Amino acid sequence: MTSADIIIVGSGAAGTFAAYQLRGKGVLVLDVGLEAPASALDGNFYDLKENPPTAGVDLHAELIGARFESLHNIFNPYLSPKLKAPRMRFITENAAKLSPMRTNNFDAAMSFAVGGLANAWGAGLYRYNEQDLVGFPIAPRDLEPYYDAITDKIGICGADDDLTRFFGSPRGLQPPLKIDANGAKFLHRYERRRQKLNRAGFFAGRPRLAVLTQEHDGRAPYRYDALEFFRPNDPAVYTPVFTLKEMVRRGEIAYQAGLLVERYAEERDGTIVVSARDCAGGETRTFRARRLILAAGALNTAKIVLRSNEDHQTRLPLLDNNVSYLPLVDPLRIGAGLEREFFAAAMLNAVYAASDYPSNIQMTLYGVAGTLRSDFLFDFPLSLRGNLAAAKYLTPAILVAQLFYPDRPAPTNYLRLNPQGELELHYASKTLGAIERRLVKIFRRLGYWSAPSLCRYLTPGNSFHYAGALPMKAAPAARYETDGNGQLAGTGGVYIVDAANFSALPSKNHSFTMMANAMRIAAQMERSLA
Amino acid sequence: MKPSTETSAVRWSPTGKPVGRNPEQELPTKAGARVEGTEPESSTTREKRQAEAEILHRILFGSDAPAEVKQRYALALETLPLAAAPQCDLAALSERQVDLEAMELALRRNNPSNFLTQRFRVLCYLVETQPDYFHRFVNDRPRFLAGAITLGLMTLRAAYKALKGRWLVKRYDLG
Repeated sequence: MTSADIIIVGSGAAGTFAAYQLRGKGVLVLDVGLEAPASALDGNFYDLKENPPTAGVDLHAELIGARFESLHNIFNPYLSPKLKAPRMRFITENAAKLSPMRTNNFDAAMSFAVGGLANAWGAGLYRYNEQDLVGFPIAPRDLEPYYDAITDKIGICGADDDLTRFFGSPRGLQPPLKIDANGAKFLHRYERRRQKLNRAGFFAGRPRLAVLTQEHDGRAPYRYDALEFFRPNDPAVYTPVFTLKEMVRRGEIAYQAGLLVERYAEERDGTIVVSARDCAGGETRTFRARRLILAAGALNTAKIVLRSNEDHQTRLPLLDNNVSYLPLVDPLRIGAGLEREFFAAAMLNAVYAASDYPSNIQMTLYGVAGTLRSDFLFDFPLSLRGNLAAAKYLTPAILVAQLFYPDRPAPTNYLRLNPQGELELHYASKTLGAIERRLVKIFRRLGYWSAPSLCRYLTPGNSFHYAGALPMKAAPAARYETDGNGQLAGTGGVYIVDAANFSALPSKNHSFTMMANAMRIAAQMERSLA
Repeated sequence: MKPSTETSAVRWSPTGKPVGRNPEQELPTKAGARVEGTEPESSTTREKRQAEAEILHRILFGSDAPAEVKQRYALALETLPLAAAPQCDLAALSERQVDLEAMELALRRNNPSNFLTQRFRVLCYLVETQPDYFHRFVNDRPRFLAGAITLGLMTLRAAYKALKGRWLVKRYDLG
C-alpha cells in the first residue's frame, strides 16, 4: 500500500491545476494515462498534402490511418474532427472498456489519456462573470487570482475588444493570432456596422486561446501550420500534459499511470483508502491519503462517488452545452485562393446578448479549411462532381458558427450507476432553433448567406462540456452536493475539483473556470491541512 | 491461457464481470458488424472491389484510378463496416451505362449513409491524401469568376441529376 498526503485522481485540466497549486506538498496523481502517439507530421498541412516528403511521412497513415481510423464518420454518428484523426484517437481509446456506459440520447466522450479531454480542446479559455456564476456559491472575485495565475503560467492570446465585457479581464494576454482573410473580412464588416449590431445584441471579437503568439516559458510561438486536428501536443497549443510532465520532471509531484481508480473509503481516523485497478494486470491496488481530490472528469468522478457509496438508485444531475452548427457563406469569397498559413480551430468569437432573450449565447466562428475536405464534401447538396467543385471553390467562403447552449439541472437529465456497474446517461432532447433564426438575420446584415434549415443540431454530449453531477451549494443538503470549497458533503476529506461540481453551465467554454476553481479549492484545502 | 496484454484486458472489467471483447478494437467483421465479405478475402473479391474503385473513380474524376488507390479501396471495404450493397452489381450497372452519379444523389437525399455514398466517400478520402489530387480539392489561386460560373452550372446539373436519379432509383428498386 502506498501513502501520500494528497491523492489526485485524473490528469486533465482540473487535476493538473489542483496538483499545480499543491506541488511540493506530497501529491500523488493516479491516472490511466494513455500517451499520445508520435506523429511524423512536420510542416504546413497544405504543403504536406501538395508535396509530401519522399521519405519519413506516410500521409495516408497520418491523415487517414493504417486501419482507416479517420473514416469513422462514414458509418458511425458524427465525431468531432479533434477526435477523429488517427493520431488523436488515443484521447478516447479504450473508454468503452474502461468505463462502459448506457445512454438514450447522449454522445458522451470520455478520456483516459494523460491530459484527458483537454487533448481535444479548442484551447478557448474564458473567464466566468457574475451572470455566468448565477447559482454558484462563489463570485468572480474568488476566481480572479487563479485566472491570473493560470494566464501567467500557460500563456493565453486574445484581445481587449467588444467581447471583454463577456470574457473578463484582458490582463496578461499575448497578442491575438494572425487572422485569415475570411475572418478579417468578417471583422471589418462588423466594425462598420458595430453600433447597429450591438443594439441588436450582437458582439464579435477575437477568441482567447491557450495558444502562444510569443515565446513563453521555453515554448515557441504558433507556426500557423494548421495541423491542430491531426497532430497532438503542438508545443504552442497548451495542454495540461505540459504542466503535469514539468511537475513530475522537477519532482514536485508523484505520478502513477496505468491505474483506474474505482472507489474510495474513509476510515475512522480520517484516512482515505483509494482502490485502483491495475490496467495491465487487473489486480486491485490500494493507496492511503489524508485528502482525496477527484478530477476524473465530470462523468467518471460521479461514477467513482456513486460506486464508493454502492448507490445504484440515486439520479445525479447531468448538464451539457448543447451544440449547433450554422454554416455561413460569403458570396464574395467564392473562388478565393487558398491561404496556407492559419490556425485551424477558433478564428473569432461572438456573443448574442439581446435583452429579449433569456441568456447570452456564445459562439465560435471557424473556417473549414483545417479538416480534410472529404469530411464535409457530401454535405453539399449537389451531385458528386458539383460537390467536388463546391469543396474547391466554396470552402474559402465558408464560416461555421458553433453555438453553445447554456444548461441548468432538469429532472429529465441525469446519470446513475446501474447494478451492472455501468453509467447510465439520460438526457431529453431540447427544442432548439429560435436563436439560429435570429442569428441568420444578423449574419445577413454582415453579408453572409445562411438559412435555419442548414443548421445542424448535434446529439447532446458532443460539446464534451459535462458538468453538474455533484454541484457546489452554499449549504449542501444532500450527500451528493459539495460546499463552496469543493468538499463532498458527509466526507471528511474528499474534494471534487472538476466540472462535476459546477452548479450550472453557462453558454461559455468552461475549461478556464474548471482550472481556476480547481486551484481555488486546492488552495483552501492546503490551508485546512496546514 | 496466453499471458498477453490482450488476454489480461479481456479477463478484467470495471464491473468485475468479464467484458469478453471490445468491439472498438476489433476488425468490424469480428465485432459483428454487418459488412460485406465476412469470409476470408478471396483474390476474386479483392479484384471485384478494385474494379469497383475503378468505376467510381471514373465517375468522379473521369480517369483511371491509380493502382495504390484501388488497393487501398479494396482494403478499406474489407476493414470498414459499410452498409451492405443491395442486390445490384455496380459493375453491371456501369456496363449498362447507368448514371451512378445521378443515382447517388437521389439515394443521398433520402439517406446520407446509403451504400453508394459511403463507397464514394471512402474513395474521396483515399485520393485526397494523394498529391496528384491536390488541385481537385483545393483552389490555390483566386478564380472568382471561374468559381462562380462552375458552381452555377453545377447547380443546374445537380437539378437534372436529381430528377434522373429519382427515376433510376425507382427503376432499379433501390429506394
